[in-house]
Amino acid sequence: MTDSHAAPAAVPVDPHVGAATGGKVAMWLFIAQDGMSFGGLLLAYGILRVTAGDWPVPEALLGINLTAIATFILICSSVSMVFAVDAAKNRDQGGLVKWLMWTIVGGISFLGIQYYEYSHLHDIGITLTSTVHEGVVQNPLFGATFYAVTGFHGLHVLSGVIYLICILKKATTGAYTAGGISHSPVELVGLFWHFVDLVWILVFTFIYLL
Amino acid sequence: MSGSSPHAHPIDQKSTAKQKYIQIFLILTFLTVIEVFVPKVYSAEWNQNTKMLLLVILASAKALLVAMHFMHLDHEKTWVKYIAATPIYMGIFAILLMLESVYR
Repeated sequence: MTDSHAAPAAVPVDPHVGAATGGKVAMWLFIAQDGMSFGGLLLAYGILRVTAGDWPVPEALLGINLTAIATFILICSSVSMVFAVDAAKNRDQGGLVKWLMWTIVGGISFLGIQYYEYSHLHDIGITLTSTVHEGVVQNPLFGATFYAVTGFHGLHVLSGVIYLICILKKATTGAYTAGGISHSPVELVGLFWHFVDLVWILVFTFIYLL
Repeated sequence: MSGSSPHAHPIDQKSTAKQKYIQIFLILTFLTVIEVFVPKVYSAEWNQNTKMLLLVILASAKALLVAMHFMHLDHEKTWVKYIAATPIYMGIFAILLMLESVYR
């Protein structure tokens, strides 16, 4: 941590990864392996669904419109995040704090919608172990896979919000905008947050729309 | 890029970057709206393959836009792109396994 704050210009240009810092390469490696974790879950979902035969139509059970709003909120938070990274690059302290706060608001709103959705689905009979729609018992794996995939993503949003709050706390002290100090930690949290958005784009398609 | 011009003003560069992000945001929003309507338009049983193909193309386009422009993968060297592309192999594996399940 100390090195990245001391001299951002000292990062050597590597023939393979260019001027990407060690932190950035590590974050990309983390994102790649985390992407494969999501891939594993979606793969299991796909195989279970294709081989089940009596899979319910997701659109009939899940609230597509509400989830589309949640998707829109996550896209908005990705834009505010990219503005925050830009503000950090331009040493704009006010802009950095403002856009980080909007990103956190977006993340918390998404989690609020997910909480509302989960409680509603639980009330109508879609739980981790059973799927009942309008009194008709359906394939229980629908509920199990739905909560497993969206819950795993929700935990990523939650950890992203916590990560963002930690970065915001330091940003308010000018830790990333003072002259000669690297803004790399803001870029790294940005990468993680965009990844969370990117994964949701795929989860929204595969779990809700298909 | 305007940034390469010796006369480019830093404020111009900043507003160009912001414009680009807003353009990407508008495209993502537009594609999301289309996505929501696809299952409604292609709800018939005989339309399911078209629906699946359209939704996968739309989701892939959105994911690519986020990776390239928000995660700045377009500015990274090839090896960083290779690392980022690793999970795509998972997708290929998924397609192969599903095909095997269907045509077993």
